[in-house]
Amino acid sequence: MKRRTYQIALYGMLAALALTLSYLESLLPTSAFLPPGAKPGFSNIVNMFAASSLGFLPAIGVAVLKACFAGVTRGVTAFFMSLCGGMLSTVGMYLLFRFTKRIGYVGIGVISAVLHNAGQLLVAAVLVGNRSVLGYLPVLLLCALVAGALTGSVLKAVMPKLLEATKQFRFTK
Amino acid sequence: MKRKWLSKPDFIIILIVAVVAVAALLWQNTASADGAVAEVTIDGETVLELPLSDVTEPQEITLKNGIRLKAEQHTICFLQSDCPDGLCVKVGALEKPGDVAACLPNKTVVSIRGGDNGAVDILTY
Repeated sequence: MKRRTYQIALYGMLAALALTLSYLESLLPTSAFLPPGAKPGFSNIVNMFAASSLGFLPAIGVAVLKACFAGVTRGVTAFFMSLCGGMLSTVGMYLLFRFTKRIGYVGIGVISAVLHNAGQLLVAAVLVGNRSVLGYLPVLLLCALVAGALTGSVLKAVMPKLLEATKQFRFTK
Repeated sequence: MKRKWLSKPDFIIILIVAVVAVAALLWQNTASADGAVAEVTIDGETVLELPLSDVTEPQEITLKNGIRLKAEQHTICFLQSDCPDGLCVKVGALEKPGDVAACLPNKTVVSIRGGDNGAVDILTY
């Protein structure tokens, strides 16, 4: 069916966009001001768009594909961390977009970044079998604040364009 | 109603996250470095405990998985590891209780915990 084809094409493009953003982000030099491992998470903009305008499954799909990409390029550890962080934040942002009206883009961005970091750190603690890794959480929370506000703002800015560009592809809502 | 870019609940969210993070950071920083013990675990198993005040001369430690650590008086850091991103090395020197550096691909964690110096361990009568 035509509709189904459109959907597949759209999800494919979004996944490609997320992977490209992840890759570009990995090229950024590690700054002296950023703690090791902290990233701005630009590809979460794609997750947020999917969660806000396309539905739960497409959003989770993007998160899973991102994790596979991390797995292929950076190994098993990266796969599990990306998967757990991505799933947790995607579920969180989907629920927020679906069931709240008053929380803004910045708020949703911050909460999903916090969930993402918390999920990753939990996986890290399990993988290495040492709880003390969680001591890294406060630093990551501060990073999530900045990164989440940034991704939320960017999404808000590009939202009208994205909605316009994907008009023919979207059938839900 | 259209969703806003920034709304009042957002400020509350930001405030809560910031307060929790800063409070936790301050709490971590109150820990005194006296008698700090470096604990190295591989796959959850403690393989090395090193009271940092006992280290007088800089020394290199090679773990059984090939990771090299460098201990100096009061600090310890990852010197070299074969992991692809080298995040553990970038973390740099660990000094205070609560400081932690981890090499996830090698499941190796170096953390600092408070020492027992001067503290009462057990009281029994």
